[in-house]
Amino acid sequence: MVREEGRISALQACGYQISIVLATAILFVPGIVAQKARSDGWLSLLLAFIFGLIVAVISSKLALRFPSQTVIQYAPRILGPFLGKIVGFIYVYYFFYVAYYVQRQFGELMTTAYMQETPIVVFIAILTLLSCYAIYQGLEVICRVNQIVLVIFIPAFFFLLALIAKDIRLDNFLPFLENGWGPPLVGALAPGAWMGEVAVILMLTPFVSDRRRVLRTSVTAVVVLFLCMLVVVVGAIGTMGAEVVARLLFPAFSLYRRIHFATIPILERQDAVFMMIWVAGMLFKLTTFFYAGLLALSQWLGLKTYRPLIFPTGALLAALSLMSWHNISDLVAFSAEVFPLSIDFVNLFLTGLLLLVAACRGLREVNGSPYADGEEVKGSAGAV
Amino acid sequence: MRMGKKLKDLLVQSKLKRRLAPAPPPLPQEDRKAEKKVWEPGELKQIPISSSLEQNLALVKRVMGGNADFEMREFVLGGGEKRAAIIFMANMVERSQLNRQILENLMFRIPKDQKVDLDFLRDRVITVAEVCEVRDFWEVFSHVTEGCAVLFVDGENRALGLDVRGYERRAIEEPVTESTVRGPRDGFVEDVEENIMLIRRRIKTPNLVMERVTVGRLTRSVVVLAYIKGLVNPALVEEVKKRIAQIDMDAVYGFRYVEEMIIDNPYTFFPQAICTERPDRVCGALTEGRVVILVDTSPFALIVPASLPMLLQTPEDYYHISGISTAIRWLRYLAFIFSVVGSPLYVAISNYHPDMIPARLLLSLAAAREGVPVPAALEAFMMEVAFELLREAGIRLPRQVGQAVSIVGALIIGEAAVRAGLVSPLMVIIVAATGIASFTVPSYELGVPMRLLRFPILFLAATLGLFGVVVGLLAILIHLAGLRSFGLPYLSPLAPLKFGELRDVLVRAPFWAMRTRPETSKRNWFRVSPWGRSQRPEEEHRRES
Repeated sequence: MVREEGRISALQACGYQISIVLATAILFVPGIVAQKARSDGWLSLLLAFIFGLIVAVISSKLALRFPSQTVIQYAPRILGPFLGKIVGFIYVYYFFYVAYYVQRQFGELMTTAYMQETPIVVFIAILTLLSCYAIYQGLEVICRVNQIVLVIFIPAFFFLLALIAKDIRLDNFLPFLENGWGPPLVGALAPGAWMGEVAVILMLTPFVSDRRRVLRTSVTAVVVLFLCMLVVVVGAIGTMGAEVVARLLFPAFSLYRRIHFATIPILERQDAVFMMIWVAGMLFKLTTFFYAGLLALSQWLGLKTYRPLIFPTGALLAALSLMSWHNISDLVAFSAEVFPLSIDFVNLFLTGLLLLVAACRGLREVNGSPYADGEEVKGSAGAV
Repeated sequence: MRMGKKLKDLLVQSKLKRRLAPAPPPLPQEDRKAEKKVWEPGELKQIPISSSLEQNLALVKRVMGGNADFEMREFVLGGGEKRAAIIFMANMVERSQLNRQILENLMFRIPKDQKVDLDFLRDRVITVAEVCEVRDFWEVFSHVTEGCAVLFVDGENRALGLDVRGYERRAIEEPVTESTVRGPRDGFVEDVEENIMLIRRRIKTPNLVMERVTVGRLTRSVVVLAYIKGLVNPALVEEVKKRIAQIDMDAVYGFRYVEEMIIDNPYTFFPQAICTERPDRVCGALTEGRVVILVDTSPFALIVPASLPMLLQTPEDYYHISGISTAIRWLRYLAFIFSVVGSPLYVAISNYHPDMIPARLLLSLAAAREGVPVPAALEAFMMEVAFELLREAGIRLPRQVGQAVSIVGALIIGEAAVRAGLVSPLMVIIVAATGIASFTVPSYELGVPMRLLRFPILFLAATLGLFGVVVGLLAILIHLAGLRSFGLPYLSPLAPLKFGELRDVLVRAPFWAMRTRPETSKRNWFRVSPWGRSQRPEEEHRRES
């Protein structure tokens, strides 16, 4: 009855791109930015915004060259079968890599902030199972639920932050450019990398019903993400000061702990409420990467469907997420130092490279028929 | 009863013997055994009506003989010596109509020396509106068992089916399961013809189409498909028809039999078709471009496709001032969510996040739980089960005993259990509030899954706290988003988002603001004149001044 992949609207694609970044970014970015750029954190975000726009434009341009295929399908056409397959595999690995990184982040946060007694594997397993369920239902369902989650998530996020606006002290943002432009630039690396994740449009474009609007959705996503990150960074540094934020594991959570309604004492501490919506956001951060990875893997292997891969891959990712980092400080250091560069490599460098070569060789999709071309490439991919 | 019938039969026979010659031949010896034979529809379809009246009647007797309520009346047509017979089920026909419009006319109103054949009888003599020609015995018996009378005439290899159906119907009453304060008071009844009438009376356009299908091998229930041509998506109608045509089962007694055979997702708790006993609701759905399925003997109509927001609306919303309807609608939405998470939230917060509760409330909470021997999760579970038991008992019992149950429930659970220290008073409040919230869900079919799903969520809350509640809710959300009802996503217009339709979901916009038809109807014309608003008197007045 329902087609395997189905169609999503441009709005849903935009939601997908927002979700793929949002949940972890607002959690980790304030800390990293405060560490690197101190009181100039907001400047780092501006720089990251520009970086995000560049990635959005590059990836959309590339996607629009081959609107009926995913990057896995056309990479062999651009770079030749062998190199193309290698690049395809890097993309596949990238999606899974971020997915299990997200799983670990989620588990760490739940065990550190909420339930210290519960083993981390419980949280990772539950989130992965939910994610598998969503992916089993297909892209359309993921996008639909994601839409609902975002409609709750973003307003709640801004609303809760508005409650602490009165605590923001502007002198926390001084001194301005204490050590020149160096620290803000370094600080921009991490948020820039996060925003670069909107390059997932390379996997989504064939399923978007109105493909011409792909560029616009990517840019919109970057703008929304910029605003969200800006609000949380300004909120965190403005209320607590850069020194404190830099030392915190999860500044956003500490921020929410400060909220309490003086006049209506219904619920004392809002961080549990924030946790509830954040779990939803996190689920979709994981699901978006997991789905993109599964789709990429199935296309890389030349399979007709990704469904048989869901549970084995999910189990593998859960195991990887447990094995890859020793503890939370390991994870935080990784987030700040290794992670941004490694995903920038894929999102900016590889994507840029593909666009460059495609442009030089003048490659673009010739005929308008969407799936005929894809089949052909899939067939040749199976032969390699 | 049976004796009386036999006597009557004997009387009829003897009268006939006096008046008619020759008497119908007795069944041949070998056919006595054959009377035990079971006649299959396929077999009957193979037997054409013969031109000999005796032969026909012999066969009818072989098939229907021994039926106490089967009647056969043989007579001579007026104006000649031609014999004829009429057969019918005694309790399914309107006797006066049969006597006056058929028998009387056939016996007395045929002019002398008129050449009589079936066409003449149909065109000139029988004054019944619905008459149809019958050619084989399957048709004969399907007409008879439906309550029609069948007229055989000697020398004709055809027969006439005459619609003289008449049987007791329940009067149209106020719908019991969906009552409104301001809405109309009529509800569907068991008879499908009556229900069609209730719909037709509201929508007076030739474009309202009622298609009739027969479903069920034994019951041959009438299923009527209603839709408005030009508003409905033709592909939807085709799909519904195709799915109904595929139903092949012995018995179809009501809407559920049809519903379960045609819905998209068989493995879900959630209703995928709206069942209603209100004609106004059905008509609202028809004008939205949906298809309505009426099943004979069922006082409920099915509306497809269904969506979750639609299930949370009531006809009442459209009989109140729009602002009030909006507020009530939101109250209902909140109650809908609360009916799943009410007691789980309490368990999660009191067990895992006591720091969320303000200090003073926490103190009184702790004081109330003082001495309760079981953990809060078990306490909640016990109370929920007790609540469900009371509810179920209250429905099944006769009304007089039902009151006793509620008194016993209120006393034992509300009062004695608290005083004995088995449960805390706060838990009683929470469970009662959750239960009441679940009763505000307008669709009974939707209220039940929500109450059932509360138990797994309660378990999650007891083991994982608020995280468990969120996980449960997300799982439900993903499940709901994955459902489709005849191709329509279950959560639409929320997800996928259709801004235009939100004005009947997030709010109940005034009628002049709901200008376009929903997207279920492909041809998206205005349903209110776009100038409708500016023609309202006060604005004209304003423009003039």
